[in-house]
Amino acid sequence: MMKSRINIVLLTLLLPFILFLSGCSVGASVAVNAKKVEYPVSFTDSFYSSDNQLILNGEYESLKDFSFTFTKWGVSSWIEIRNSEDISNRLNKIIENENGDAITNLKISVNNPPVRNGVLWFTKAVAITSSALFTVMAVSDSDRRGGYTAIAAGSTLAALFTPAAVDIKVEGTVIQFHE
Amino acid sequence: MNKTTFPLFFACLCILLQGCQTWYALEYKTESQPIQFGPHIAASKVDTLGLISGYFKQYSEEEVYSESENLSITLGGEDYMEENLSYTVYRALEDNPEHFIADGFIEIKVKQGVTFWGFLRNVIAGAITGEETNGGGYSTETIRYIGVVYNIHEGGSNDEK
Repeated sequence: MMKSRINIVLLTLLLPFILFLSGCSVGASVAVNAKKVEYPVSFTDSFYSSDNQLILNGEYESLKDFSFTFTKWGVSSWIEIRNSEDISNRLNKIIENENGDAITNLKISVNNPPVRNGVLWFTKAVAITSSALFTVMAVSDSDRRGGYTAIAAGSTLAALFTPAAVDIKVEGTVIQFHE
Repeated sequence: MNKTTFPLFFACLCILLQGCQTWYALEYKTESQPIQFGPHIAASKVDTLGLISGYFKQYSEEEVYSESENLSITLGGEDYMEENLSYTVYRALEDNPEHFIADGFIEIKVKQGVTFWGFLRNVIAGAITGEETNGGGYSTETIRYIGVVYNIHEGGSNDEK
């Protein structure tokens, strides 16, 4: 009994080192695409029209600057599960609302929300610690093995699938040109 | 907590959460070549030359700070930015003015946490001052652009394919 208590105390002291040795973090991975956009959308101030004409800055009229922001959630930072977001419909609608022909100077920005992800990181750190602690307790205490194992398994799953948020901002200019 | 205090507290919390934003952007400047996000909608033939990608990465690690009555200690902390757009994406266009990039998509990765060294710095600073420590967390933001390089085929049409 005494020996198992010493083991638990030692492990509790070692846990933070085990936890941080691997670098505890939360993360999100998102792919943003526009596969179904029906108009030219360019990161620069020039683009090719549908008849392969290079349209340069000065050869078109800027109609309106636009901007929209959205948040995506990454499922896990240990198992890479990539979320994707197709913004084609939003871009098509923005161009059609302005009777435009294309988008130029597209800019995609990212914000890693520190407070939200900080809270999630803390939750994950607690889950990892709880998982390791209850695994050892399940091994050393045969009387309550079932309960401890369930808590350890639950904590492991919570740690594996701790989400993280990412804010994405899309900006650009709707333009009109006359062929 | 009365009926008005909670909504007020909640509103303040929301404003605080919204206020903590640092945006890292991916934007391009070229002489005249387009870098298109969506597909290239072409009525005539274009040659597909291959895939290209470039990225921008921002890394920041907070310094660790601890203070006691007559001693304060600051450890580590760094900020750096990596980008290889100019070596890949721009270079491909500068060397070949007749090329352009389209069918692009963006891959975004963010991470936030504490590294082992960040944790160790916390332990060291705390041991020296005997007080609690702040900082040591890190965050990374990576934006990668992947696109297809095309070459305009003068005088051709899609019907020829």
